[in-house]
Amino acid sequence: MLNTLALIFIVIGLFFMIVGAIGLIRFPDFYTRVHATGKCDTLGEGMMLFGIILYEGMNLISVKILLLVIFIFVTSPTAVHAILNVAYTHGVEPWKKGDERR
Amino acid sequence: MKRSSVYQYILTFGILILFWYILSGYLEFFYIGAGVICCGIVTLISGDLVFRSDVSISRSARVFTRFVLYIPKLLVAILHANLDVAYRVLHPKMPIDPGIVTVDTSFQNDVLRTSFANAVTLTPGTVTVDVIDGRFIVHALVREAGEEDLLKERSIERDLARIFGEGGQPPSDETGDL
Amino acid sequence: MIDIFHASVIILILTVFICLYRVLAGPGWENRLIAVNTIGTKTIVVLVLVGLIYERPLFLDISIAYAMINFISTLAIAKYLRRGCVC
Repeated sequence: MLNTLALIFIVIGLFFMIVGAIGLIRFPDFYTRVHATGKCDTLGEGMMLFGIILYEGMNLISVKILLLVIFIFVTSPTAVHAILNVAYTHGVEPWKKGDERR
Repeated sequence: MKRSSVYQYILTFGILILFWYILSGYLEFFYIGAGVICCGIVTLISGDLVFRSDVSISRSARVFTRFVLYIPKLLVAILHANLDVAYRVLHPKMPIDPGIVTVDTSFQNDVLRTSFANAVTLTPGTVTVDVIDGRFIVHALVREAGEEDLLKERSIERDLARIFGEGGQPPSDETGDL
Repeated sequence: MIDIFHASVIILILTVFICLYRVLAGPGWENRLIAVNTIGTKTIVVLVLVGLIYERPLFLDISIAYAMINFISTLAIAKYLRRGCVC
């Protein structure tokens, strides 16, 4: 039962990570790519690691992975925001509908 | 005020030694002794970083509890945002219409501004780009939906104001650090 | 379950190759930086899974350290590009 739940979490996490990678390729400019990777990667990674916690059960390894999940959920949006802020101050133009992709 | 600063050092030391035990996993005398020495040095150098001395511990604990109770709602919002982005990525025609939205808030406090920026980043289709004195520059994946969410409903803003103290303008010395 | 972990590692490495295309071809430094950050976050999961497959919990500590290095290096590069020095 717990293994099935872990399997579901891992598969959903994998799906979100693949979607993030595809979005990194498909979207037309930098800001929209940030939308794809910054959101999908954070949640996909969190879900995969949570599935591993369910598979592992209660021991010290699970506590370490839980710390890793909390760390990622705090730092990943921060890192993405730092890159976005630098690009905005350097004057990277946002893409509008109808422009050609860059 | 002197007593609360002592409490702050003790709390920092306790959290550090807890992390040490989780990361090492040994309960022998040598490892714990080394941990006590290392955590003592770190506490002496940077003991005032985690907890501020001008904020009472009980108030910080209450703010922290309310934030923890807010996390399930945030998780549902994150899941919704991810499904939205996944739909737009995988749709063959890519239904996106990006644009920049400017949001004016009355938040004065740094912790509150940071939380609001992170919460905006996690809601569907919006990412915070820059913050200038309470004015948030937000990039929205679909401009009209982002304006609808951020400017008309303002649900995130109200939730965060409720968590970190009453009203949208808490005095800066009353909100606690996380 | 171990087979699932093997498959996950292989799929993750394939997505790393997809991101590598953006590192090589992406116009400007900003696309390259976001792609490198994404590769780093995928590598953390790969490290945890490899540690589970070969039953070596040491890999978990490596992945925690890798997460910290990934975060701090991204912040350092962003700060350097913003101010011209890391200070």
